[in-house]
Amino acid sequence: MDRTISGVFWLLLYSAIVMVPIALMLVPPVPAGRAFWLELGVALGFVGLTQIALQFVLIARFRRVTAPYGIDVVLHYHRQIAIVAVAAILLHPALIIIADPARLRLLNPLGGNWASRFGLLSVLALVATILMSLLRERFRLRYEYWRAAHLGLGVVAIVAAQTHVSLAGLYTNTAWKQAIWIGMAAVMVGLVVMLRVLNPILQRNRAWRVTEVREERGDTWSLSLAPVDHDGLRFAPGQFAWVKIADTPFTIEEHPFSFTSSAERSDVVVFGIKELGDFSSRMSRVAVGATAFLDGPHGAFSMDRYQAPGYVFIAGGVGITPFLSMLKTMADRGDPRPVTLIYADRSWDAVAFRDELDVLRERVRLEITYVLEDPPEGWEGEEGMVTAEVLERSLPRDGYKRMYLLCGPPPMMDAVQSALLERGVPRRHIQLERFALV
Amino acid sequence: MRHLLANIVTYSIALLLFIGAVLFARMRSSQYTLTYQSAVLAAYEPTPGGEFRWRQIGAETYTRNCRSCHSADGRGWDEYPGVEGADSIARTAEGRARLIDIHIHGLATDGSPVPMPGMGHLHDVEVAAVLNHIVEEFGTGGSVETFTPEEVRRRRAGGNDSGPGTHPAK
Ligand SMILES: Cc1cc2nc3c(=O)[nH]c(=O)nc-3n(C[C@H](O)[C@H](O)[C@H](O)COP(=O)(O)OP(=O)(O)OC[C@H]3O[C@@H](n4cnc5c(N)ncnc54)[C@H](O)[C@@H]3O)c2cc1C
Ligand code: HEC
Repeated sequence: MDRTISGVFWLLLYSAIVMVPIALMLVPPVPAGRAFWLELGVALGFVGLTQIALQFVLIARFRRVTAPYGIDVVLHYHRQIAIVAVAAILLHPALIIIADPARLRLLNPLGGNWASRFGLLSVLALVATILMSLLRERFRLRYEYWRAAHLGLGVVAIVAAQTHVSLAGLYTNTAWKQAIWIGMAAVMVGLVVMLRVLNPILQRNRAWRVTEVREERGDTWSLSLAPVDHDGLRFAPGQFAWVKIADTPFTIEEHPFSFTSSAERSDVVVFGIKELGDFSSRMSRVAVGATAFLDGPHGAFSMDRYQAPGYVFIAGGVGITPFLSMLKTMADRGDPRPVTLIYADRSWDAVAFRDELDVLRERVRLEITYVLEDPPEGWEGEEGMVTAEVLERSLPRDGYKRMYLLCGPPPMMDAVQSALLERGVPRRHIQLERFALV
Repeated sequence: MRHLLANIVTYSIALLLFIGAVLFARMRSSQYTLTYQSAVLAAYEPTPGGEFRWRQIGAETYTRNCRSCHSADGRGWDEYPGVEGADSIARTAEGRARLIDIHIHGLATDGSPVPMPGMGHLHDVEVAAVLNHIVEEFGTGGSVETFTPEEVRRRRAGGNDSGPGTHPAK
């Protein structure tokens, strides 16, 4: 299906589902109406709950649903709407208590009833989930622990919230309404089971074997994987996959990396991995022959998606990986379109793939500007950061309506994006890839 | 570009949610769909001197407004008391007035950690019907005089009625 059509379709379906609880609450038999603020509190509770439930759909990695937008954007949305949902859910008890302060006693787990206790549990779980996510980096919580806790608390929140709704029961006053709500919660918990149990079971039959681990410059490693008894996968250049290196797919440790190999090859896929933390620093110890599992391809950052008569790639550090794949793919396809690459890194020795890029320069119409923060003696190229002046000197003047693809550290992408906008590049010609999902 | 779109969607959905919730609350608080006044009156055609046919309305009113707290069998659950005792209360004039008042104004006593909400917006027909319903369905038996819409109307007019949506009486 055309990407725009399916994108609009899923969005409309989503907006409709978001409104279902309100519609459902108006289907007779309806309990007697009450004061405005009380009913507002109740409505916010219901829409908040539906929103939290939909969060499970957003993370379930349905490729068909996420493809029109790119899973990174879907997760970006997941993060933002979570705050909206929790705000609605916090307003729920607040308004109900304001409507009748006598209900304050419901906040005491010993003073309330079972409905209020489960409601309380759900709110606490949600608040903990949000706080952990917002403060994860500050408290240096290990990513894997955070992820396990996030998922666990999410499930507690939705099950407790559903129990609260069923017990309070005012708006679930018929068996079929109960069934719809309980069914919804059950499906969401089912999605988690699917993601963490069913998908790994399916992955088991699609194992990969490490065929090469090569050290590149700048603490970066090239990890090559070949399919074991299956036909591999097809990706668009610039996409990424979640990689697990373990004997079984049931490991919680799983990291997203962009493919660096050509999309025209399916006998082997290569990832470029920079040592940034505990997982990526173990690359030197990964043995040839080790087993790996992939979940992918995901992502919307690809030149195939943004067709243009020419491209400008702007990479910072390990952000070069998606571009490496795009350039290799162009070479394999004999793609004649011109590409200007601006590649910023700390020092000349840290520029991870510059030998490969030299080779590619022979096969693709490629111009490269290196921008070094800490250049060697006698360096004649650009130095410092990718500033408006650097762009002025290195951007092509060929008048093509080029597409600008950016991947690098967030401050760099922000700065470059504003510089480009200032130069009059239309916003829809600028595409970003953020190497941070959460 | 895509991130920008995601932000726009976030704001739109947030707006949609809050507008939806406010509309819902407005509708509910203004009794838009609620007492089904026309349905109630259509089912109950007061014939002067005729008998009050309350059974169906009583059962429906109970399902809609009471069952979630007092449960399907009228025995209540957890903090919510049962209503089995209503028939004995309904045998005295004060008791009958009190039962009607509970429905119109609500009830908050020290005997229960949660209040019963006032339901002054219920139609006289509904109040009378649901009282008959709990007396007959959950009571211990024995004859109790039928509540009539007229009795509820008199109580509303005579008692210190401050209109629908009043706070639970102390
Ligand atoms: C779409 C995408 C493409 C990426 N492509 C590449 C690439 O081609 N090459 C490359 O070197 N890096 C890439 N990354 C970044 C890479 O995923 C992280 O550097 C890696 O997961 C760090 O793991 P660690 O255990 O080594 O570090 P840690 O010390 O555990 O974590 C360092 C930081 O990395 C992030 N991180 C850790 N684990 C994950 C995870 N499972 N999922 C998401 N973020 C995580 C967290 O913000 C964490 O704080 C990409 C990230 C994304 C989102
Ligand atoms: C939100 C929950 C709730 C709903 C809905 C509700 N009640 Fe109540 N009801 C209560 C509570 C709580 C009490 C006890 C209040 C107290 O004693 O402080 C109570 C008390 C009563 C009593 C008095 C019991 C006694 O022995 O004193 C009667 C009768 C009653 N309710 C009938 C009804 C009827 C009929 C309806 C529907 C029209 C209804 N209630 C709807 C919560 C509710």
